[in-house]
Amino acid sequence: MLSANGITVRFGGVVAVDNVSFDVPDGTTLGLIGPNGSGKSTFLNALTGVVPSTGTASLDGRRLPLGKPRSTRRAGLARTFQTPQNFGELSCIENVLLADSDRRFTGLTGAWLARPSMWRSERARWKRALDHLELVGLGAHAEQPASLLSYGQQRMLELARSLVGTPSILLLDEPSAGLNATETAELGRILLDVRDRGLALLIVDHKIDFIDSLCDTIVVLQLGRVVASGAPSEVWKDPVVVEAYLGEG
Amino acid sequence: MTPEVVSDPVSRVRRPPVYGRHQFLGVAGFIVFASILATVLDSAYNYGLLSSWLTMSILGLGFYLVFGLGGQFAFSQAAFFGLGAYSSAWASRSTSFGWGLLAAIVIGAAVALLFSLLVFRTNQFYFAITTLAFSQIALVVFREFDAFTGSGGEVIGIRKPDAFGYQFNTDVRIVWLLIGAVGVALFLVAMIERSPLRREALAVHAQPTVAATLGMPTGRLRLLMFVLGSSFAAVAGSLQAHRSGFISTEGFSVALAIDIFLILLLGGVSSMWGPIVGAAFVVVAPEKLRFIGNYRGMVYGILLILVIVVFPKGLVGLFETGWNRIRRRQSTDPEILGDSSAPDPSLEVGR
Repeated sequence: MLSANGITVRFGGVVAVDNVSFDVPDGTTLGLIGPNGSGKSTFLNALTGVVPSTGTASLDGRRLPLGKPRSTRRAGLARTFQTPQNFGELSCIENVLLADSDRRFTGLTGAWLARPSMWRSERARWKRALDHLELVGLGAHAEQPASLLSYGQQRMLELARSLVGTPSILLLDEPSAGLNATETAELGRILLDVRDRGLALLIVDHKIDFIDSLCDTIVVLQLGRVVASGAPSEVWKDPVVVEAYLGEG
Repeated sequence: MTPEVVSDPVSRVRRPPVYGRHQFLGVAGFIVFASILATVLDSAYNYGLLSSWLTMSILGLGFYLVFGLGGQFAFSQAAFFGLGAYSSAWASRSTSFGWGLLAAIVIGAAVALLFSLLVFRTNQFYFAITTLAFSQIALVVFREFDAFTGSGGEVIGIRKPDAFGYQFNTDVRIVWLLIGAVGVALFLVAMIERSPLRREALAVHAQPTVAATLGMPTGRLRLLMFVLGSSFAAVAGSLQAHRSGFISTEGFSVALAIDIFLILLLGGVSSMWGPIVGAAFVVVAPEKLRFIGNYRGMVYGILLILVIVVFPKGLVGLFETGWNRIRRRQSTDPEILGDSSAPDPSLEVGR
């Protein structure tokens, strides 16, 4: 379970995220919504250590080292980005391999001194990477450079990469942005599948139907603060949320 | 796309394309080619050119690790070349070439590690400036630190290379030694190319923050590529010192650092063969332009600009583009395939 407590992000005098706290239990999905500029992506960046923040966060009872992206990832917190951040020069399978949590013999020792061990580890990694590429429908594109994928495929590749390290929670920053209806439905199916296997999901998105179909809980941010939270049916009736999304009158 | 091809279980990819390439065959091909040159050429002038090409190739390969894979814009390669030369000359005074070479590697790697730790938090432009400053400081040290480098940074009478009692005391013998050294350097780089380290270095190079969110040790990888590449430069320096028997600070100036950049830019930044081809150009082209006389510098400059503008991926990129075109033409030739199951050219990995 992910627990975030009092997460605050300041950029100079601007408080982008203001004392945000909530829990995401295993096997559940939390949707983080709010108008543009409300601090949703900044909150994800804070949790994954990409921007400096204050507050505390823990994953499965162990404290997350905020401000340290590598340690956060190794603790079991994976993420995708608002625009897919793949390595275009590398093949799709190499993109997924990068995120494997088994990092044995990936350095100079594996390259120069322990090649048989490196090959053994690599073969296991290749299999996992291919399995995850197949999970998102990209098995046939494994050796293709990531830069040649369509936008929707880039999103799926990033999703495969985020899942390969067997994380405890996956943070998705607007995963359906730029996807057509079919691709969005496929994405939803994959996310429900991994959630049912016990993974916790934290999703930032603007597509209300997409969020409604996936989330057990919704948290609404406005100007960096939590203004509403609860089950989707309750949240959409909240006058503060209605005002934030539709405006007064 | 051609699902007929990619969904075929027999042709299904089980490993990243980089492992399917024949880098080791390329290394063997290089050794054969260089050996033919060493056999065919017969004048001291040609042996000198060949030796320079081979030495610069090792320097360039080191810079490929630092810049091509590691993405670190460093002007320090010439300084580590000098450090290797002086360390080797110093350590071999009362011992042998082997101890000199070992000293060059150890001292080069240790100084690179210390420097890298010192400027750990700088990157890109700022890192480049620190390496430029390091090069300038190194030149002063080479010139003033007499006990280590000799009076005014000049060392004469450096012993010729030897190994297991065999003396590399003629031009042609030194060429063979250098062919062996470049072969070993290429083999070591090929092993990195055919390992997870290549993709990790490229990922850290391209997007360090994203790489960190994937759990990669970004700082350690940058440091490793810098130390490795600088050690290659130190080895090249050691070989240069023992080949020529004489070193002075003039040979390790910023002008050499710029030549090393040119080697990679001209040859191709994204291929381990780039430095080999680029070094040949940088060594041979100015010599072949001697007949122009006073206009040599100008014509060489124009040639450099033309190559960089026309072949942005370097001369190796030109070969790869040509090779891909030939493959594409063959793969789309209906007489060869007989149907529409030609592989999609876009599936080719152009490295």
